[in-house]
Amino acid sequence: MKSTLSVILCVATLVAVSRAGAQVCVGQSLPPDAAGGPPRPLAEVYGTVERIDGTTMILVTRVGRRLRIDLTPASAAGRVQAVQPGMAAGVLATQGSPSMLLAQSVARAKASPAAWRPDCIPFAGF
Amino acid sequence: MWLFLGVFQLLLTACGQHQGASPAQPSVAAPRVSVLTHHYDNGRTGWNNAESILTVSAVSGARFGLLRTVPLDDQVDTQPLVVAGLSSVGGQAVGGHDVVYLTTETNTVYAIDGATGAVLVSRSLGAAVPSPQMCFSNGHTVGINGTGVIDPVSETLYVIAYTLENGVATYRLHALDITTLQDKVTSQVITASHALADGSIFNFNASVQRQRAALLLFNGSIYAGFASFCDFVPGQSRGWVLGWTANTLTPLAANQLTDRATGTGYYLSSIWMSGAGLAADSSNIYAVTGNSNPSGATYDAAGGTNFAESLIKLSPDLTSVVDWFTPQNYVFLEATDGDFGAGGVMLIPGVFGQGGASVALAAAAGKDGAMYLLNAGALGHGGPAPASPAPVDAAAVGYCWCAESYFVGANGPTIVSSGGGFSEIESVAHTTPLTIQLWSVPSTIPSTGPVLVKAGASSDLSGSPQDGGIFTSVSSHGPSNVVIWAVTRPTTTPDASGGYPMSLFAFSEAATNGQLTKLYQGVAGEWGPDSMNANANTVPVVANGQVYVATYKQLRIFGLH
Repeated sequence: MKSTLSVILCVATLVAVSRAGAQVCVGQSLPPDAAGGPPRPLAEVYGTVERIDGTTMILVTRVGRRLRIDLTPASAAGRVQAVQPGMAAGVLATQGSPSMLLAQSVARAKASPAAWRPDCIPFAGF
Repeated sequence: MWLFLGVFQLLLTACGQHQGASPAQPSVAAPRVSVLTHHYDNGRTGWNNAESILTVSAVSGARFGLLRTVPLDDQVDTQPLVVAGLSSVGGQAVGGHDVVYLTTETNTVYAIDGATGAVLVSRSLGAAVPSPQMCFSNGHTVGINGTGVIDPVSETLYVIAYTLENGVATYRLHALDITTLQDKVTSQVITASHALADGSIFNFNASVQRQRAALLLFNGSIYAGFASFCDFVPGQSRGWVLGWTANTLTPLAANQLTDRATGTGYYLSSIWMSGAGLAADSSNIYAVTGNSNPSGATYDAAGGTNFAESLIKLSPDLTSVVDWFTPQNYVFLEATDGDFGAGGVMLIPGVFGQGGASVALAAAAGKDGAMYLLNAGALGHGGPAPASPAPVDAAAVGYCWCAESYFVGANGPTIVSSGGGFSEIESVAHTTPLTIQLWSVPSTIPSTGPVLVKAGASSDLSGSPQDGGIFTSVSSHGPSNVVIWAVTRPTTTPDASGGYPMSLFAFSEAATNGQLTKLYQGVAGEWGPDSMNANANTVPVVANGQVYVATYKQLRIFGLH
């Protein structure tokens, strides 16, 4: 299978500004799709699943921030591990609307935030 | 009597090398041990019974500790392998020192002088695959994820590297000369196909399969199991068992899929076993599978189409599943991602009396913490129906992403289990004490009552945010000087370097008020901050007076100062 399912590490360090202040994170990106568009930056976030309404998951991050995440792309790709409210999860996502992330993969995370990688949301508005 | 190929794996090399004058060492040269496969032998016992230097008193004494630390280029998810008796490696004379072989997630293979820590030769097997399937139950890249195996006769190290080749995730089986790390024959790109239940052909897809279980060398062939990345793409990822002729890397004519169903769109039945190896007795191959469809509706071992949540026995030509055992709570395990196959299977050496007959025994435990002791010659099937024969016994050992060890000591045949710590299989987090437990097994199985008798347990070793259970190994000198070794998973608090420390523990088999005597505790290495969502399934390897522990970007060597 060609590289569309692979994720390449960003060669550059991305600087994202979050509500918590300036945050430096090493982002990842999806490689160009078949149409040849540019690589799409990926957010990587961890938290506790607060609820799942249809295709939208509310994830509460380690600093208490609620993120709305559309599960549709990850579900379509078969990259959603079974998670339920109260469980820890990690998400790789592209940018959707200014208030919504588009999940590319959702997997269980270890319960302790100590085990989570730093959150990285390299999108304006987040 | 089982005739383990493990006899070859735990090779006693009488090379006559003295270790230098030391009160703790014998006055005559002891046979030297090579550790050539995961958990020491094809039964996966984790037992080195020819260790004459690391006695109970030596390990508990002030002279035992860290000798040196060797930096490596990336995370190590595989077990170190040790070869004694080589004359030169990488063009350098090794003077009878042991040579340690390590592989990392960047596809680097190292040969390291066990006495000096010097890297004798290293080689990259190609660019590793970044974030396969965007699963993060691993480091940022996945390279060599499963422990290789060494053939001491041909002096060949077999490893499977995961490489990104022209943007395509590819598995390659290598046969490396252990003195040069060069390929002895052209590496084999892994491909396979298998007929599904409806006769349609299903092809192996390297981009959705994780090669996590340790390789097996058996009957002149190399075998490997495959799993998924994070249970992702369950409509394409299945539990494959593949094999190749060892000296040519030619694929075997047949292979096995643990799930050959059609139409459900959700398969898996993965073989990963937290890195434990496919096991083998004198005749067959054993593995344990994980979950398939959470509904439980696709399990079909009796029909031969889906062996989810099962211990399976395979013919060595991979043409058939000849026997299996499925726990009765398989529906619960399916529904909760409660992989029975989060643990490996251990085949116990020798035979045990039972009702006037002789039986061989196997032990396996998984995420839900039930350790089953089974008649390896008649696994009993089970699943929806009660197993017949029933398991010889079962014991609650605690959540187990791990595998058992075994030894024969003061209490006779003894299984070492571990379990407990953290688990989330019931959708909410549970934390219980994590202990190492000893279970004695009578040489004659009683007709009634419990078979497994708890002979002791360690103190609580929990404290990691990672999953439950840990890998153990055992050293002894025959039945005496039994030392149980373990490396705990990383703590929740980083050290000054930003890594998460892990500890090496040693216990004797002696118990006071049921608690094993701790002989040693020391920092064994650390786990990387980017990898904490990936369990550190670290196996301490004991050979010829030294203990090798490989973690994140380092190998630590312990022994007597």
